[in-house]
Amino acid sequence: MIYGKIWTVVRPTVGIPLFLGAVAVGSFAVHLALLNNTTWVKAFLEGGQSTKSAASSMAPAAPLAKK
Amino acid sequence: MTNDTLTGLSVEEAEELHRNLIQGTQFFGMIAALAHLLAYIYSPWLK
Repeated sequence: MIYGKIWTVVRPTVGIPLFLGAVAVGSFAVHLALLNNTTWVKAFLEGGQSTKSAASSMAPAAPLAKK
Repeated sequence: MTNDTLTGLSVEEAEELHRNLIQGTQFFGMIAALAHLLAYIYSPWLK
């Protein structure tokens, strides 16, 4: 296994959390950036359009009639 | 001689650990690739 000998130099108790932490932080940062810089991730997390339209269709028509 | 390294792991132990780390990374990567494929198909991503 190529590069396997790294664990004879880097302690696994340091290297593995560092590796997994880098993956986690990098992944979180990318997804947070997507959440803050696009509209559709927010829209997805907000809930589907079908739910919203269903909810609004369930709402009473009286307020609309008053307008 | 086998434990005569900086971390105390033998070369065999280090390579066994590394095999498992690579395997876990591949498993994670496969699931992530599938998730990204689904996100690409079902979201406006890159469209």
